[in-house]
Amino acid sequence: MNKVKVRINGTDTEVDQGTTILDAARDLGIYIPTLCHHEALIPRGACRMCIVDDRGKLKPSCTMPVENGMDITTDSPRIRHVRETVLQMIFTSRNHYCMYCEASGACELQDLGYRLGIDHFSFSTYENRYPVDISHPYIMFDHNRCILCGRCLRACTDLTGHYVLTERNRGVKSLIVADLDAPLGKSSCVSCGACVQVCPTGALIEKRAAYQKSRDGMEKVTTVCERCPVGCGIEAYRNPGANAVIKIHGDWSAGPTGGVLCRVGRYLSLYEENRKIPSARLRTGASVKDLSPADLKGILRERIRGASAWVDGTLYNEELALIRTVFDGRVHSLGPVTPPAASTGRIEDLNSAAVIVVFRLDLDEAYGALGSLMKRRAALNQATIVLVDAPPGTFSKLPVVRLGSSELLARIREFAGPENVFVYRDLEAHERDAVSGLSAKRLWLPPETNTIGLARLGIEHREPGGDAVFFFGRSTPDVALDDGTFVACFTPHENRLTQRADLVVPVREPFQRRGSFYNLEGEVLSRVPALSPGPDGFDLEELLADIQEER
Amino acid sequence: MKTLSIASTWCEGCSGCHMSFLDMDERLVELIGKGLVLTATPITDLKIPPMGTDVGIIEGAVATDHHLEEVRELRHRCRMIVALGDCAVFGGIHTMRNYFTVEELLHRGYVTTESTVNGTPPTSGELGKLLPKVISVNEAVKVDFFIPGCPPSADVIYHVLNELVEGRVPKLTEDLLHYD
Repeated sequence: MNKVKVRINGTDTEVDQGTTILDAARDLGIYIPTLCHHEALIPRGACRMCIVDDRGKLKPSCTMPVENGMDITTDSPRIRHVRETVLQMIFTSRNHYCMYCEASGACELQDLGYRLGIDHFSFSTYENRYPVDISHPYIMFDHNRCILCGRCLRACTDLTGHYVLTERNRGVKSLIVADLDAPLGKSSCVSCGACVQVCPTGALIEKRAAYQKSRDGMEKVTTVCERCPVGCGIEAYRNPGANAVIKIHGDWSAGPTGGVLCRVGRYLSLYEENRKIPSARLRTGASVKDLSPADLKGILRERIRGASAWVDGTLYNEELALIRTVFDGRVHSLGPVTPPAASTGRIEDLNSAAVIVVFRLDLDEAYGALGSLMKRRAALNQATIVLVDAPPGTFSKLPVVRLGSSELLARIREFAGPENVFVYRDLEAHERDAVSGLSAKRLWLPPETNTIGLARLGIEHREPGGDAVFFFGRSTPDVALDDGTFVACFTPHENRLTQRADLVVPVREPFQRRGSFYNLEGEVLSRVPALSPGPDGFDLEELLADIQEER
Repeated sequence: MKTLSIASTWCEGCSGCHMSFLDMDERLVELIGKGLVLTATPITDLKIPPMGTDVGIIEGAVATDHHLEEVRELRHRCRMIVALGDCAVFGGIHTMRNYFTVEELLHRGYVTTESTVNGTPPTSGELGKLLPKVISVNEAVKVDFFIPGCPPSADVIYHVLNELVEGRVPKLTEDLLHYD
């Protein structure tokens, strides 16, 4: 790597070619204010706050790479005047009145105003009125708060590959729009929420999270998402007083997906309407009786003898191991646990693959973060995506190759090399045979979060049946059981199964639980609880450990 | 003893900044001991400050022709004008009405409100007429010093008055400057 010599504020330094002036200055511990810059996004040079002086010429340090002979000054009366004027223009262009804004207290524009000592506006305000878009179920876009930094566009394109947001018009009429200026809620937006997370002001805000708590009053818990086996790193922001999760952000420093999330993990996990189970209950005949913990344990001690347990992939390794012990190994999985063909690749391979073949999955609806990794490369022609029997409309904006299964198999030699990856959840027998023989990598996407955990604990799939059936987990199988079967259900929320079960036991909700699970790469991920346990909801491990001890 | 006379008023404001002023508690007595003199303020309930008053403190934005007259009068009578609070400094919350015309506002406020029957906008000559846009004080008259905040804390108000009473030019450091 070539080195370049440059002087910054009188200090001589040598950096790799391609390093921006901003990064070179930061390495020296020199502060340069920025606004549109973001650690996870490609620099854009939109805000002009990072202006520095190089031998008399003003340059934006975030986008300009260093060149031999540069002599940079990062602070001077002239530079300060330029930055203040630019900031005044940004403040007065639109509605930047802080006192009723959701972002006040955690707004990067506001912080910069404080830092530069802005104590009044130099130019007149409210010259133009911009739209407020509330059409989206989760996201509100107040264009009056927008500073046109372009972080949202960059997050929607370079980072997540969805290519929904773009910029329209120019000058004072500039506007960030979705698709061809459609309301956000009617656009091709897949609700990954990256735009909201990167927005420096209160332009993009999450509807449900807004105004619940001052942004600097929220507590952050770093954990992993448990909605699917990708296991994206997340930051759960909680309101400690109310013991509630306010919003979820992606953790930029975590794993192969690096902060990219999807609708399921970021929004559904908070927006789903669930009914809590008020207390443990037992139905005998037509009457239902609420159970005290002592009553419950008595019933369990009696009923578990000889009963079998059915589990699913929403349970953690520790819970599964304990269930297996308590039921003397009579534990089965509700769903399949074995892959049609084992994985030979890792998520990282999606970042370098030449061709990615996806079987019958819409990766905007499920495993969304993986979809983003592929889409952002395909959009730049860095990878080709081949969709096999994809649901209609899948990846409709990308130049993908769409094939039926037999067409693919006829052409399979084209995708045989080790630089390609096959991605699948299910495969037909003949597809599996064709794919297994190739040197191309395989990435199996397990159907549930901890499917691999079930397999590693030797828990196999079987249809439920018998005299006494104990269900654990959040699945709601549509099972046909004999009328005489005793059905017990250990789950956090009311569902189809709890309505017909004889014994219903509320367990802790997802954000209250701790445990580990295997992600799709077979790595162990630890889920740290974001909330304290509530008064209702048993700790499953504690409950089962008690029963086990008494035997 | 050298004195510093102050006058104050609020225009389109909620008086919250004046409450914050009073929140100085006994520090106000300390300042009076150092030479602070209150002339016409809501605290003394006097209306018109004498010519040559040292500092005129204005809370609230300029929203009507009455406010415009008031701030001009204060500017005329005071050597120095201090804009107190986000409304006086920036225009504040009231600027939300700047997205609409005065006709739209009066119609919504007096005719179409849900519990109004046969309403009409008032036309009495005694009422101030709404200016087309709510403006900050410095868009109407020259302002010498700004104290943003909603409200500014008693600490920053005390700091500014103390600096002035002791003959210095105040400066708002980062911990004293906030827009909410």
